[in-house]
Amino acid sequence: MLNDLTIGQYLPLDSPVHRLDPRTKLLAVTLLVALLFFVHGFAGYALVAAFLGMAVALSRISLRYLIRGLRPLWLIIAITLALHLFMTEGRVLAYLGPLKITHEGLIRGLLMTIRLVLLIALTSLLTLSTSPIALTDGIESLLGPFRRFGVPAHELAMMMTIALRFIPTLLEEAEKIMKAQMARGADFESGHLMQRAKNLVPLLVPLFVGAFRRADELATAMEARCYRGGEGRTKFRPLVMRRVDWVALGATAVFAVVVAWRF
Amino acid sequence: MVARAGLIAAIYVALCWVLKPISFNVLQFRVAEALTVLPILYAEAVPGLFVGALLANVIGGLGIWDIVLGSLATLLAAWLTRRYRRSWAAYLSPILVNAVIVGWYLTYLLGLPGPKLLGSAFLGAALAIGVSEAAVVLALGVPLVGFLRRTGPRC
Repeated sequence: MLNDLTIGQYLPLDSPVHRLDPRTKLLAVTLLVALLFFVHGFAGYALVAAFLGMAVALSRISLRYLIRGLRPLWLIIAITLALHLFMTEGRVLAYLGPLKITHEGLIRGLLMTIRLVLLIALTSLLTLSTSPIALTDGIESLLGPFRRFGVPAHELAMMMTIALRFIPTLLEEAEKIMKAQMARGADFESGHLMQRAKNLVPLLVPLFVGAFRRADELATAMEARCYRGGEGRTKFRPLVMRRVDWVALGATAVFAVVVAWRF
Repeated sequence: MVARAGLIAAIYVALCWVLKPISFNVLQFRVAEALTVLPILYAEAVPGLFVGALLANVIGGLGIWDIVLGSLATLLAAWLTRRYRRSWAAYLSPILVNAVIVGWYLTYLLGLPGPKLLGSAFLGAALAIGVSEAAVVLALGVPLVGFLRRTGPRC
């Protein structure tokens, strides 16, 4: 049940996109996402899709993986399309029982669906081509300037790293606890909604107590190694913005500005 | 403190993963949201929940909006829960904050009709999220706090 686990969906390939600095990718994705909310019309979306397609081709990630990322969200996509299709007032194209499909609804529904798909695909490309650890490093570095406003950038990044490290461990533990409780007669699969939620208490409490025990052991180990926060801490692999990073970021920025301005 | 927060984040993501099929939808019963009651007992749960929500949304959310706004909503809710930990308002904050913020940006993100603040789509989305949050927090969060208060690890 828990075996099909890959945290994030990182695909460790060797490509120009994979080799980019995580900060470059984070900023570029942010720019493109902002762009998607400026653009209204099929032409603009087509350009963004073409840009994304180019990045995907460069990354050597097969389209299958991007489409797989959309699969859990097909319901939301379908609901969005349906709501627009049937709820928008305008010139009626067809009747479907009591519902009517309008021209405006069709256009709007398609636009929103395309935007949603592009949003998800952009984020998927980021997580497919960047390892979680690199992402955390990138976020820590990008949050750095906010430290003077009291944002604990290093601590947040450290928590993320610890969480990423322990997610598989806790998943295994959750599975063990579920089996142990089921052997004692616990029932996780039947009953109505509230009942099912209540039945999860015997899973949550031991999971929580176990996790806290691990946390305290980890804290002792960290202190034994003289961990004292981010001050003066050096990195084994420091992040470096190379020329190709600046070029990629600059190209994305120019593309975003031009498309936002013209479309 | 950092270690405990990290582990709380890990539990959040792990729970989202175990119960994935019902986690990421408009009507989402994210069982992990039961953990939003933890700040009542543990201060380090505030950043922990924030990081957990962030990672969970990175792994399986609706993209950048979910990652930024969804996690900030969780952070705000967790902070309010900690602030009012002695009263029943602590249980209310995750329900209300998520319903309003997540409901608002979902409406916007999906471009649903009803752009006015009190438009029907916003109200519907907020209601749907509020109900599912309330179900998880009340059915699972409340007994969880009870158990942990009696038998859980000390703060």
